[in-house]
Amino acid sequence: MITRLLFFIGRGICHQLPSRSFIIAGQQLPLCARCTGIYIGVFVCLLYLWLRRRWRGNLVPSLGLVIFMAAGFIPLMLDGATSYLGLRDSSNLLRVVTGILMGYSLPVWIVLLKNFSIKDANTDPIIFSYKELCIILLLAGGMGFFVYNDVLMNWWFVAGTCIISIVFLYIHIAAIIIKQIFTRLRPHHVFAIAVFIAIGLLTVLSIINRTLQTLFL
Amino acid sequence: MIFCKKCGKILEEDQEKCPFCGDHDQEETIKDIPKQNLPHSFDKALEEIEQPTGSFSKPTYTPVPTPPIGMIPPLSNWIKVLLAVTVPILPGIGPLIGIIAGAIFMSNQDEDRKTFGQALLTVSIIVFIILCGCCMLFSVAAQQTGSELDRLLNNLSKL
Repeated sequence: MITRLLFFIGRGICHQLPSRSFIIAGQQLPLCARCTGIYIGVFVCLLYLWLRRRWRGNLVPSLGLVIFMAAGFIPLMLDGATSYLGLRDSSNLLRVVTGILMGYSLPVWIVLLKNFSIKDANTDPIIFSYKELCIILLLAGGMGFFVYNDVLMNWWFVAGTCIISIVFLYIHIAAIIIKQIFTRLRPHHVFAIAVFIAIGLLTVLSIINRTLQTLFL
Repeated sequence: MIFCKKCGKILEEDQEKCPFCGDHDQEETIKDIPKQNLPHSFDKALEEIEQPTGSFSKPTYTPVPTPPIGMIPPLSNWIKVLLAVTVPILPGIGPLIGIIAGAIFMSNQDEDRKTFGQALLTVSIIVFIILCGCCMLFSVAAQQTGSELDRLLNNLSKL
């Protein structure tokens, strides 16, 4: 039942093609290699920010850090574009590495947008230095390495963390949009509506994906 | 301004007669008042204003380098439109530009730039996620279409 739920949520954002997915302990993960990489990066960064108490941060990182984080999107775009256009074949290793490079910075933007204040001064930092970004990258890379080699990893742990990261990310993106549109809403109302929208969106996307796959097959 | 020539009191524009001393035809503007007719203290003060003594230094004014917060002119609409259009129409590169530009605007002190930066960053991340979703659907479609094509080619080769 829970496995089906994980696959149902995963289908909302991922094609789940078996040839492009990791197998852990004999069972396919509910996400493809690229999405697994992205959400491993998201999970590790979220964990790091939570442990370092940066969850309330609202200070925009320096321009150098912004460019460094934005540059992480480029490998995924190049790999995705060239492989989808049929120019070359990608591998699961490349997919997971480029996914991690993109995903590890997403929580920084989410935390920034969540806490950023237009009226007041923003003084609480989220990320201080390149060293911190490298630590997050190394931790995510380590987790990705273990997933890729199917070493020391439990299926439930990997699948669970990835799916929780997806739900978490979508809820917060929805909350950020609602907060900017309806500025007078109270935070807990914003959160409740965001949960509703995020779950609804993932459900609709999952059903659309399932329908498309059924139609094509 | 009109003064009474006799007592020096300020008169209204339409007053022909001074209500204090009762004198008539005393109307003169301040510029026309001869110095010798002014009271002594007023005359001295006027001279000090015209020729400041050593105790007063000439005031110097330095230009303000940047206007105070709140007085910065808002971001040009052309830049806003250009960035807002760039983000969705340039796949991949547009959101990247949007993220960097959004972060730069959010670092600014101006409220208009901060608001636009926040909106631009939000839109850029959303567009990037939508792009990833489209790629996912495209890959599913391409894979299925590819297999259909392979099947068709195989059938044709058999014929």
